[in-house]
Amino acid sequence: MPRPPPPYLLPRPLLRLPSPLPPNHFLRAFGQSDRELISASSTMGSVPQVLFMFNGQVTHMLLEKNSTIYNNIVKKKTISDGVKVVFLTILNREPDAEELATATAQVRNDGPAGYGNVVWSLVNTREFMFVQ
Amino acid sequence: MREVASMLDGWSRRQFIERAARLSLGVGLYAGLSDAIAAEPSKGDAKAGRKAKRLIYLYMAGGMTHLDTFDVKPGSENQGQTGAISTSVAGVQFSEYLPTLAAQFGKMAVIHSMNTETADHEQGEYLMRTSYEQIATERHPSIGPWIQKLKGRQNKNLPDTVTIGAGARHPGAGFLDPTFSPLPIGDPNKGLENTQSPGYLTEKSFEKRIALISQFDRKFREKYPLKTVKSYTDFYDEATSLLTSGELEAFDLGKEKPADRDRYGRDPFGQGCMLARRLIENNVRCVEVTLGGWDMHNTMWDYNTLPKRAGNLDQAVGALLTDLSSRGLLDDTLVVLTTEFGRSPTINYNTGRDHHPAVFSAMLAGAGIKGGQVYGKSDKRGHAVEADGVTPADLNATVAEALGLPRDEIVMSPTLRPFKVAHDGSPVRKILS
Repeated sequence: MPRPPPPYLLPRPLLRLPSPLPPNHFLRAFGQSDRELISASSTMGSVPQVLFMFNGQVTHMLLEKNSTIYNNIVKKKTISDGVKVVFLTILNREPDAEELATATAQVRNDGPAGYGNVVWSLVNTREFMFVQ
Repeated sequence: MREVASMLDGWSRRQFIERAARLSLGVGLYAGLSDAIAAEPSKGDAKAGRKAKRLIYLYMAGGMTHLDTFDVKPGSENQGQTGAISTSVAGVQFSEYLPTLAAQFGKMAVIHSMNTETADHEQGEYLMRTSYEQIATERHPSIGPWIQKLKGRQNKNLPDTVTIGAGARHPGAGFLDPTFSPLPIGDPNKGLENTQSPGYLTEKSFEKRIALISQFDRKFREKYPLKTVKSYTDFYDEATSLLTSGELEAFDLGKEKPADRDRYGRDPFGQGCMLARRLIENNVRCVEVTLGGWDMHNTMWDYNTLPKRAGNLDQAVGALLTDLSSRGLLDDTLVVLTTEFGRSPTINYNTGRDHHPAVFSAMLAGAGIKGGQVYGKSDKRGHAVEADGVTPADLNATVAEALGLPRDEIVMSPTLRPFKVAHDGSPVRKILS
C-alpha cells in the first residue's frame, strides 16, 4: 500500500488552501509569503527548492503508477509517441529530433525506468521552471 | 519566441509602479528586486586578538522570565515558588531550575540589565535579531547573513547559516542577497529534508539523470542567458554538490550515539542543540536554535510550564557547553542566549507573569567572552535596570565585536538606505576578552 499523501497535497481549489502553508511546504520553499509583512513573497531560488524538485513528494507523485502522466504514456503504442506525451505534458511542446533520440534511447535501454529518468530530468530543466 | 522572452523578464504591475515611482518621485515602494547592494569599505574597527569564528545563537521565544532563570531575587515577594542555588562563582545565584548551567557559570557572562522598548512578541523578536525596528518597507537581515555579507562565504558545500525551529517570523537574509538565506531545519530529528534519493536510484543513475538535465536544457540555456536562469543553474550545482559531497551527514543525528543524544534531552530544543554542535564541527558558521513556550501568563509553576521548559534549557545548553568545551570548540565558538523581553516581577492573578521589557537577562559564553561574571544590575524587585543598561543593539554589537565584524561598515539596501550590522549599538567591553 503506498503511503497516502498528506492532506495539504490533496487536490482542492486554490482558495481553500490554508495560508500561510507550513514552512516546509513546497509552495513556501518556492517563495510563498509567510504573511507576516507586506510583499513578503519571493521569486528567488534556493537550494531547498532544488532538493524539492529532486526528491520531493510532488516529483515522486509524477512518477507513480496511475499518475496522469503515467496513464497517458501507457496508452501509447510506440516509444516515440510516449516520449512526445512526456514532452507535451511537461514542456508543452514536442521534442526536437535530437531530444527525441536521447529520450527514446533512455526508454529502449531502461524500459519504464527510462521514462522515469526523462520525466525527472525534464521537470528539473530551467525550461520547465521558467516557461511553464 | 518574443512572447516567451517577454514572459521571462516581464514586469509585474507592482514592479512597474515601483520603477515609475522611483523615476518620477525619487522613492522606492518596496525592497527585494534590485541587486544594487553597495558597501563602503571597512574602517578596520576590529581589534587584533582572539575572535570567535562561529556562532551558536539560542533564541528563547515568548519572553524568558529573568526572575526564574538567570536573575533570581531570593527573599523578594516577587520570587514566587522558584528557589535559588549557588553557582560555581561565590555570590552569584541562578534559579534552581538551572543546576547544570550554574555549575558551568565559569564559562559564561550573564547580563542582568537587558532592556527594550516593546512588549510585543513580534516586534521584540525582530528588534533582538536585527537591531532595527520593524518597518513595512524593508526587511533587515539577521546575524548569520550579516556575517556572510561582511566576511564572505565560508563553506563550499554546506550553507553558512542554519536555523533550527525558527518559524516564519525569522527575518532571514532580509534585504541581502537571497543566496545568503539561512537554511531552515524544521525538525532536528529529520535533518535536511528531501535529500533522500529513492531506493532504486543508484549513484550512477543519479549522475546519469543530472547529465540528462543538461542535455535537455542546453538549448534553452543558450537561448536565454539571463541572470535569473543562471542563478538557478548555480542553485542546481550547489544542491548537487551538497548531495554528493558526503557532508550531508552533518545534518544526521542518527550518526550520534543514543546515549549522547539522551544527554541533550530528546525534546526538539535538546536535539536542535546537538545538531548545532554537529554543524559547528562541520564548519557551519552560524546556527540558530529556537526554544519556544516562554510566554508563561498562567500557572507557570505547573510542571509542564516553567519547570519543564527551564529543564529543557538547562539540560540542552549544559550538554552543549560541556561538549563544545571538551572538544576544544568553545575556543572559537561564541554561544549567545537571548529572548525578546522578560516577564513581570509581579505575579499575576493566574499565577503567571506578563510581558516585561524594562529589564531581562541574556547570556554569552565561549570565544571572545570573559566568563564567570555578571554584567549590569536590575533593582531588588527585578523590575527595572539599576545599572549599566544593555539594549538589543548593544547585545548584537557585543556579538559582532566578539566575532570581529566591522561594526562601522555601512551596507546599502536595494532601496539605498544605509544599515550596519548592530545598528548604533555599543559593545559591552567589560565582558569581552
